[in-house]
Formats: sequence, structure tokens, C-alpha cells
Amino acid sequence: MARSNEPIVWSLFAAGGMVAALFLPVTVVLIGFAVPLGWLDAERLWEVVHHPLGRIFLFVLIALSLFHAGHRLRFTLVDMGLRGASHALAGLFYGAATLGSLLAAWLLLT
Amino acid sequence: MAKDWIRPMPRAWWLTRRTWRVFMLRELTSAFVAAYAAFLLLLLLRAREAGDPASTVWTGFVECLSSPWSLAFHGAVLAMALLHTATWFVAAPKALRLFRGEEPVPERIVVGAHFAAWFGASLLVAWLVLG
Amino acid sequence: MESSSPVAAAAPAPAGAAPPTIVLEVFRYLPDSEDAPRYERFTVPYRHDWVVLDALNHIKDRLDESLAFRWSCRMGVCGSCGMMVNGAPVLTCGAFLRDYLPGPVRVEPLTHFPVSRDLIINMEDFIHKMEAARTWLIPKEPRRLEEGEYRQTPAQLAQYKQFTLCINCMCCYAACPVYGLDSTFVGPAALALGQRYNLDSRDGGQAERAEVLQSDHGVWHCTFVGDCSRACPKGVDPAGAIQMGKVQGTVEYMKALLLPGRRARAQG
Ligand code: FES
Repeated sequence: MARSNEPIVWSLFAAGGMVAALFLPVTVVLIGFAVPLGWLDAERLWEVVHHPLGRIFLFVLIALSLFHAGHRLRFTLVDMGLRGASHALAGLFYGAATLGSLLAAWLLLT
Repeated sequence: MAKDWIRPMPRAWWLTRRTWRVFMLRELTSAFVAAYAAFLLLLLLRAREAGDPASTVWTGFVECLSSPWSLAFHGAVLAMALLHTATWFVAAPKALRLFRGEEPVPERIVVGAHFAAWFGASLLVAWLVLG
Repeated sequence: MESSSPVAAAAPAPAGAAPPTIVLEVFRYLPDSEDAPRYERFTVPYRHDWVVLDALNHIKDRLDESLAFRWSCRMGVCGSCGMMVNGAPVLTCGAFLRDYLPGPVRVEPLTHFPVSRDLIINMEDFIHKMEAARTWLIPKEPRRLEEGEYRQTPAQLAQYKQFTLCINCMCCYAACPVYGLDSTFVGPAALALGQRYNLDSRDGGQAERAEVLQSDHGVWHCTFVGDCSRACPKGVDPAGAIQMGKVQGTVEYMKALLLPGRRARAQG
């Protein structure tokens, strides 16, 4: 048996799980509820999104969340009966996470 | 030579035990995590399209955040995100076994430290944004 | 059962009052004479201090001597009496009938394993997994007898001690859906015992074990359902051992990636 290359995607999964656990709830509250409540207006949200710290925060949150979710969904579908499609699912989910991360990098860092 | 009897798992195996249903719910939080990452990408696309905070593309988008659809979406994502946070922290001491000399650090201390960090980080972000 | 069961509600009987009998629904598979398994109901005396294994022995002694099941120590040490009781993998010598009142109690062989006969599973695959994971001490430096014992501090012992409590009862395999879905998975007990030796300061077999533990069928197959740890009658935490294995494997992998040649040297 050969040693697995899974550590590459697992470390992204684990890092993404931690980042999402720490920062997703507050992000959802701020955008989804603080804005409707009037605590956060359109201009301030614009500033936050374009602030260097805000850009780094959003890039890390988006990219790692995508890898976290892609890894988990891959194994969930495998466990639900798509074991035969394991490689195809890996390509699909990690591919989508990579594209999403590149899109986020382009939107935030250029 | 007698034949062994094989009992295959049912297709919907994950519905058959309570802990497996909970497991599947935990795994499905990731669909909501992904959905929210996609939503954030949409927000950034709108910002790029608008080019200016006064543009109606941006103000219109921000107005949409108050719509019932947005509130329902954010409510669902928040519930699943909190479930993810809770399950993630409760699982953390499994991978992180700490010792003080011969005594293992109790799991609830490791879990508690994660929740404390989460609380602090959330407050910090909220304070920076709402300032 | 809930305390609000109709029996308790209707008859506020003195403590210890119990039904005279209890029904067991036992999985029967007799490959020599029958094509498929069936459930057979046996009515056995109810005794407050009886465990499911006592009821099975009563059946074998008094009702049907053809019933086949494994047991030996009757005290939670040998690990041979693991079965499914009402759908959960347990040691039947530790499962009191009083916890399953009013019955019937469904007794089946451990799931996820082939059934050889009645309550007896075929454990060949489990034995192979234990061998593959090299669940024994591979000394870091072989010592001759006259050089004395391998020394270890209490702190070093504490690192792996809880994983030594495994009695190979296979309840964790019956609890694990990942093994049930795909038996190429090395599985909880073998991975936990592999980790137990990896954590032992006297052991030098990490690289050898990694070929299995760190393969796609090893720790990386696990999706952390966590039922192995909930099912373990000895309080071992195989799920924890596997997550540790993932973290350590990742650290090793990244080191090998960043410092090429290191792995070649480590493997000698
Ligand atoms: S008979 Fe030995 S563990 Fe139950």
C-alpha cells in the first residue's frame, strides 16, 4: 500500500473548518442581519470590503471555506453510495474550490 | 464448506441510527458553508460591477439584503454555521491531545478554549466592522 | 425504556418487582440446513442480575443446544461476546436484561462482518487488519537480555496507555459505517492499536506502519463519524487515535515535501 496524498486536501479541509467555525457566524450576522437592522450601511460595507484587512479576511474565508466544504461533500457523497465516482467527485469539488479561490483572488487582490 | 451470510448495508444506512443521522447533518453543514462562500463571491462581483459605493448596483444589492429571501437564506446559513462551529470545537480535542506531565488535559478545557477564542474573534470582527 | 412505560404507570410495584420472563429474539443462521437467516423467539426467566449472555446460556442449556455464540471470561476482558443487542454493538456479558425491559430483546451477530453461524461472525478480515497495521512493539533499538529492560517514564506511558485497554471485541467495527460500506478500510481498533505503538517511546516502527496507517485505506478513509469511540466498552477512543494519526501524517507529509530526502533517510 502506498502512502496517501490525502494530507494535501485534508490540511485545507481542516484549516477551512477552523476558519469557518471561528468566522462564518459573525460574517453571516454582520451581512445578513446587521445590514437589515441598519447597524451597517451600504457605504460602510463598501469600505470594509475594500479595506486591505477586509480583503485578506474575505479571501481566506472564501477560499478555505470552499476547500473545507468540497472535501466534506466529496466524502459525504461517497458515503451515501457514490463510492465508484470517488475520483470524479474529487476532481469536481477540488476543481470548483480552486476556481472559486482564483475568482476570489482576482476580485479581492486586483 | 458452509457459506457465510453477508448482510449488506441498506442504501439509506445513515437514517438507521440516531448518531448516523446527526453525523450526516454535521456533514451537510458544509453545503451551507459552500453556499455562503458562493454568496460572498456574488457580493464581490456586484462590488466590482458597481465600481463606486453610490452606484445603484451596490445600493440595490445592499437593499436586497433586507428582503425576506435574504433573511431566510442568512437564517438558514447562520443555523448551520453555528452547528458547524459547535461540532467542530467539540471534535477538536480528538486531534489535539494535550498533556501536563502524566495528566491529559481534560477535553472540556480544550473545547472551552476554542469557544472562548470564537467568542473573542467574533467580538473583534464585529467591533472592527461596526466600530 | 422510559420510566413512563405502561407497566410502571399501571402498577406502582415495590422496587425489584419484575416480570417473571423476558423474550429474546435471536438471529439464527444454520448454513448446513437452511438457506437464509431467521429470528427465533425464546422466552427465558427474567433475573435482575442476568446479562444477555446469561439468557443465551440458559437457551443453550435448557431450550436449544444448537444455538451457537462465542464467550469465555464473562467479565468484559476476553472480548469474545460482542453482539448487537437491540441494534447496538455491546459485550453481552455486560449488557443487563434489566436495561432492556420489558423486551423483547433482539440479539444479532455483530454487523458489518460475514456471519458463519447464528451469532458467530467470521473475524478473518479483522485478524488481517491487525497484522497489516503491525499492532505489536517494533523496538527502536534491539536490546540483548543482559542489557536489561526497556525503560519508560510515567509521562511516556501516559501518552498511549488508554489505547492499550482494547480487548479486540470488534464492537467498534460493528459501530463504524465506513467499514460497513467498504471493508478495505483498516478500521478503528487496528488503527488505534497502530497508533498505540507509534506513541510508545520504545517503538521505532512508525515508518513501517505508515505504509498501512497512512494509506488511502488507513486513517484517510475515516470520515470521523465517531461511533467507534461511543461503542467501545473499555473506554478506548479509536476516533481520537485516528484523528491524531491524520495530524501526525500531515506533519510528516509536509516535512517530506519541504525537506526532500528526509523521508528516504527516515526509512533507512
Ligand atoms: S465473555 Fe469475555 S468479554 Fe464478554
